[in-house]
Amino acid sequence: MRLLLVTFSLRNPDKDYSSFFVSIRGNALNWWHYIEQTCVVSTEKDADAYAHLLYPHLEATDSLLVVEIQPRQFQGWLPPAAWEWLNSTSERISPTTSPLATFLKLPPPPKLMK
Amino acid sequence: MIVAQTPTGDATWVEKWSQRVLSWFSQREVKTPLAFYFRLTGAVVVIVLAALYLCPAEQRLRIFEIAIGTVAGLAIIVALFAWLNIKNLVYGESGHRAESKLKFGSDKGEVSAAQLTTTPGTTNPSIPSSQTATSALPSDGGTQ
Repeated sequence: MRLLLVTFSLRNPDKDYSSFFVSIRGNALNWWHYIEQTCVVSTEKDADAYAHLLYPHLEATDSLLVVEIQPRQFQGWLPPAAWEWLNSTSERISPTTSPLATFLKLPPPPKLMK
Repeated sequence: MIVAQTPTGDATWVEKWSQRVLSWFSQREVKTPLAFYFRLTGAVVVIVLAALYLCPAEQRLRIFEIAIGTVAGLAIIVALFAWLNIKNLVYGESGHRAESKLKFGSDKGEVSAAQLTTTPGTTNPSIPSSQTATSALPSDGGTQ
């Protein structure tokens, strides 16, 4: 699973971009939208494949950028709920603890004395 | 609105009225059911006035009754809309576009734009920052 940053500029005020937004959500496992014209999605697709799914809903003068984000490699200023989503999704993509330890809730191993 | 003018600069009354009639059909575009019913009352008035002018005198009372019935019917339709689902009465193109936009929030829960503007932000709590969160903001004396 990957974390993709999707940022776009839809410039035709007469066009109905509903299908574009439907496509963003429909092709993502999870989605995040706390900043205008910017989404973060979790998906199995890479940036190129995901961008290709959105092209049919754009016009020639619109803009779209899809970039893969490395889990936990982000910082900024956002509402707590937005950070909670980003951090929990990062944890699912790249767990810091083993799934078995999480399941059993085992304490971390003691440090060896030198 | 562009009004055709005579060489002397004054628009004739025919031009003024034709522009007014044309704008009634073009510029004041109906975008909601409420606007449509409002426009319909104007059309009913015009039709009734024409009918009263054209028909024999003995039928004028009948036309008046039909007009009253039509206006009452429209009032009932609008009242039913307002009572059962008032949103449909003023639902139009702009409302539909706003609904079809991507909502703020995430798949875990949507938040309104108003809710978002009142929620204070923070830095990522899982990453310990070298600066305190608020001192990093330019408005609080931080550097850009």
